[in-house]
Amino acid sequence: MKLLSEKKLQKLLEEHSQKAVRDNARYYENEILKKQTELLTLQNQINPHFLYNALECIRAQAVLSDMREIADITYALSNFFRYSISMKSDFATLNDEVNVINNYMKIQQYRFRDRFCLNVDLPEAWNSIMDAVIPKLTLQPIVENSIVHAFTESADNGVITIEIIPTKKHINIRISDNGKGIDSDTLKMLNHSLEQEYYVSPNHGKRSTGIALWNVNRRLKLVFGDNYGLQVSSTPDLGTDVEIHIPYISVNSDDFSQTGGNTYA
Amino acid sequence: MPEELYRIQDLCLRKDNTMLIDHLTMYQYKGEIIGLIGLHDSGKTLLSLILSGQELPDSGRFYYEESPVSCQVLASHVALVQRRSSLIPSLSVAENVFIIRRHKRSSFLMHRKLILHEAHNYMREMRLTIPPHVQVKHLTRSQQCLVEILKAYILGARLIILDDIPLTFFQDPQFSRMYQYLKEKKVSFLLTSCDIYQLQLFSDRIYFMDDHRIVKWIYNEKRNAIDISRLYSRPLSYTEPLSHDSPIVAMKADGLCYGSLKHISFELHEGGIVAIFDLFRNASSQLLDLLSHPRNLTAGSINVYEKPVKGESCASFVFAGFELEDCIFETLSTRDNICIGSYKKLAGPLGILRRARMQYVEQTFIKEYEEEGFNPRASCRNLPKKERLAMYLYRLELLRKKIIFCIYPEKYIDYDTLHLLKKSLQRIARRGNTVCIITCDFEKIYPLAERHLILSLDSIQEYAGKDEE
Repeated sequence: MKLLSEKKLQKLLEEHSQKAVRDNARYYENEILKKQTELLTLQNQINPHFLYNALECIRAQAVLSDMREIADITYALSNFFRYSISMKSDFATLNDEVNVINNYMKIQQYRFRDRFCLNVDLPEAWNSIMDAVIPKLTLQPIVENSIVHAFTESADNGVITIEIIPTKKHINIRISDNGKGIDSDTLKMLNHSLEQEYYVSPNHGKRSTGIALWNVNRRLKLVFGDNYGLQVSSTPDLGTDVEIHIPYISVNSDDFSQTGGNTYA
Repeated sequence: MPEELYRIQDLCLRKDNTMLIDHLTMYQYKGEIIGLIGLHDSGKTLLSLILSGQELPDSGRFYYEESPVSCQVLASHVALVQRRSSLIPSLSVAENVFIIRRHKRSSFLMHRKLILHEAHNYMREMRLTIPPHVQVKHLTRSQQCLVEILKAYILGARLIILDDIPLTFFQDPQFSRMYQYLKEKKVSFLLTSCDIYQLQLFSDRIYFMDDHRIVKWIYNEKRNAIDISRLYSRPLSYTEPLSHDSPIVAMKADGLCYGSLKHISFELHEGGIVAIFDLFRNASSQLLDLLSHPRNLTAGSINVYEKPVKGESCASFVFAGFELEDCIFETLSTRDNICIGSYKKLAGPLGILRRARMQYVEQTFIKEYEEEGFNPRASCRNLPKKERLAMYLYRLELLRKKIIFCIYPEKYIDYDTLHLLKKSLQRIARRGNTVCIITCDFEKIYPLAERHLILSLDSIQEYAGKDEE
């Protein structure tokens, strides 16, 4: 049996009490962080509501003043924010995505004074695939890319076409524009960067390009698996096509409810 | 709802450190006709070969009816119809269609009446007017093509690739009827061509290939007509360096008249590689005849380094045919096969061959083709195609003639040998010789040459496509 001297006992007790103090501090720190996060979450919830309410007021005032255009744009803006800010789920249905694109384009057309238009080509079997699961905000960054990059030099007549083609098990979505296109070398690098697991700038960091496409592609691959994703093809002066290939999974299917919308890979 | 027939993703094929197919992705629906357009060396034919299982890719994912399959499984649903007929000319149409299925029959002997009857039924179903009992050699090429498509369909092909088939064939009403019939049966077609306007007549969608991958596809609709012409006229990227464009005229043909050829004038520059394309296949044989027998010239003149050529043949010319099966002697060694045309030069004063000289020639050959990994051989039996071509070209090089005419090299070369031929011709040209390729195949030969001349019976014109860039 080992005997403890008074000094050693003192030391042990000190160590023990210090540890208890540290643990307590950590516990409270965590609690404070938790509270702060909760507060932030509440604030985040308040902010959108404040925004939606303000937009509704503007819309109401516009309707009362018989300013149809402003009322419509405000409504579109409010719907767009409601969709993009809401944190309920990372997934949406194809129908939601198409609606949000329509809202987004309405806002952009108002902003750019109809320099470009959107054609959404829905298939005959639209009713049977409109409930297909798709990661939220898959189409919007691609359409935004077209607006930002494709039509920078053209004055008008820009057309963005979204075509949805369902097959037995899959859905192909093609977003094409008739903008300035991408030159061969950049396209090659862009497609190469899409294949990478981590984002590599196609023009070696000179300018951050393609990150939105990479992001969408990565999300599609993480959700549905490596066989799915997007592909970019383009010809200078003739426009760019982005083709998305995803499996058809109904939001009402057992697969989706069981996984809770996690991944299908 | 369209049904997807196949999808290929990230298809890659690399040969000799060159990406021949570079991350290609494409798909086709059932009953859809896709036109695949691209200029020379864009990878169309190679893609057709991969789809039909004649070439194996390095990587890629394949799906058939939306399920992952191997390349071979996909290929089992694909039939390839090429410019050269694969039918046996001496057999009848019915025999050609059914002979391949003989192994499926329980009896060894074929029931002649039965296969004729069966062929007749198919013909009637597709409203074809080709008599099944006629020998294939008596059919026109477009009829042979129809028979090949019929055969592919009967053998169960779900995708029929028509690789570089003259699209004028399709103007035959029988073709459109057959197309319609097969489309209803959900058979898909992939048409490869470099003629956009013809593809526009027949395709539902058109894929554009450039730089060994798909750059864009469009629906073939009237509203696309302007875009298509813009895309087609766009100078596609060529990476061929313009080397040694020497101003020294090695050969000048001025106003040549011979047979049906009228007023043909052109120049070949020293150290240059020129391709003369006979796209209508009616003028090159006469031009060759004339070059090998300049004495027969009806009018005009041929000058080599400003000296007129009038004799039976010109000592500065060498004609390289590409019947390589006959040119390499299997029983001889590498050394002898290379030196066989230059024995006189390699022999001593008494006509005895100098072994050291021959050995030196052989060593230089091996060194020149170091990358290919050729080894000296005691006999040339079962020689790989590439090595056979290298030996033949080196043999010609040793002759040290000023102008080398390569006659229809497309007969022999494929993607494996194209690179080697290009390198060899460039080396020959670098040494101050002039290379003139006479060919009917625009697509395959285009990348080999620096200048391109288009020959017809009454003119020869420089092709300026490259300069537009």
